[in-house]
Amino acid sequence: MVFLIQLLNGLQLAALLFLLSVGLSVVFGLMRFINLAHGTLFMFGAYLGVACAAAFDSFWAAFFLAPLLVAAGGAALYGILLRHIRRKSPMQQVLVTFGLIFIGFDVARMVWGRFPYSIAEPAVFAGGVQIFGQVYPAYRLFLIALGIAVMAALYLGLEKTRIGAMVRAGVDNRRMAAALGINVERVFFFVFCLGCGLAGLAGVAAAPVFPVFPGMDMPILILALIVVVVGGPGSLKGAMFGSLLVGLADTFGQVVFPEFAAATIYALMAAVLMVRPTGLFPAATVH
Amino acid sequence: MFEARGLKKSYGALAVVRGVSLSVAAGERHGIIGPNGAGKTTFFNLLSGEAAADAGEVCMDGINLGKSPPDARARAGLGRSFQHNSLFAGLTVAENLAIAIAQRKKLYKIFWRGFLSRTEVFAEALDRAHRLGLGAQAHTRAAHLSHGAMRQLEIGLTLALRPKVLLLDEPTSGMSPEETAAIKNLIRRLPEELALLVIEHDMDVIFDLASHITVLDYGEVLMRGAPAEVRASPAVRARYLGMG
Repeated sequence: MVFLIQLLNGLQLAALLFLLSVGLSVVFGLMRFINLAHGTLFMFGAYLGVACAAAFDSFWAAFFLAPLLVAAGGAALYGILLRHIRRKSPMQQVLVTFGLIFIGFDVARMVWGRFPYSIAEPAVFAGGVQIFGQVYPAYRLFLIALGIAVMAALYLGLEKTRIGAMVRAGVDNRRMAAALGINVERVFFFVFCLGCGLAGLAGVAAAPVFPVFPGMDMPILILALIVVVVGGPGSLKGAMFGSLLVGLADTFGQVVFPEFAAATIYALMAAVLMVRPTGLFPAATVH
Repeated sequence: MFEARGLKKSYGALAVVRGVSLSVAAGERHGIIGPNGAGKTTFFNLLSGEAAADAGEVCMDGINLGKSPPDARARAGLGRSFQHNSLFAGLTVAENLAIAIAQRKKLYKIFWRGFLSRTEVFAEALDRAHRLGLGAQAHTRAAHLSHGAMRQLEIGLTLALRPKVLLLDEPTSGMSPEETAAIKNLIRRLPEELALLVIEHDMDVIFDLASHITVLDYGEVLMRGAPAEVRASPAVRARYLGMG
């Protein structure tokens, strides 16, 4: 069942893309702020995971610590730099955060060198699982489950908690949210840090499967940006369906039309935008 | 109780608000009129903190609000509605109101807990929807309301905060006569101690509702007084009512 295996591979990529793109998307929806260095946070999640795994000799220590460290790094980055360009034009945001990509790349190369690292998968998920007579790595199934679990947690958080209601109100109508006394700035900071933490989580979770090297962030950043565009910025549902579509299209594209593999997701993006110029599930706005 | 002193605002070489002072007592119904471009909405933006004044100050209960942003002013008791509909379009009428109520009750302090399940918040939201005349549409998404109902809900949202001062920017603009009547009715039933500042183009509405009127012209106060005085003033008639 080659199809089924590819489906699982696609879902696994979709899970990682979801972790990465949901922060990017909600931050953009809330504040019209574009952080191109989001992929760099993914890369540092992976590297810090490698460091933590080595220091504590445990995958799980890395799994829980790296996202926290990346979130703290994101908070510092925001306080020092990004806060000042938040209200600037998109072009300035793009240029500054694009610059951060290069800085991140060089920092990673200086600290860890250019050779790839990896984290050993945890013992629990080290083996394979029999699926329809095929052996599939258990860790990859864990990645899919992780994506689903984070999605469920975010859904409940957004729909059921007060901070979730504030986030939704802020995405929906920032001016009115402020007029009601909601400190949108603080809500934004919280969401930004959460998004950074999830990018770090994606990085450390990817480390046993993908090689960790300077520049590992670029291919997945581009996929994550396409997810935001296809899914429609600002919504959890958009990030979810966008990740599924892009993850599956990229995986199946490489199998079904290998000669056009690089173009498959762009064709998908073009097709979606022709039908729905604002993406599949954009956050609701009044106008 | 609510006071603005010498507010000024320029955009480049264009002085939009040129030293406007205004004081409103609790329970006062204060109308602001003036021709297009007189600086009325900019003046409101200076009061609410949406725009930063170049000079002057805004005080609530004698406390200078300084440079505090709109959300801090809202928490200090300053409610406002906008000239264009401002609602949480993706949420239902009741959810919109529940957000404002939860905000007033400071329920967000414990942010990880739920609030929509809290019956007292939702009961109040439904009650307020009824009193706004939107009871039948309590579970309709705000985006699907008529223009008039949206404005009613928007005023209702601000009222749910129990503000001390309410700023309404053209509450009846673009409305049918029935919708205008509904808004007038809503304004008449505002809590008595609330101080109201309202910008309005419909002279019938403003002369009917206001106890005091300030006429703005070219960013300055042209005249201030009771509705009858303003209506009788030759200067205002010439400049604004077009009855020179």
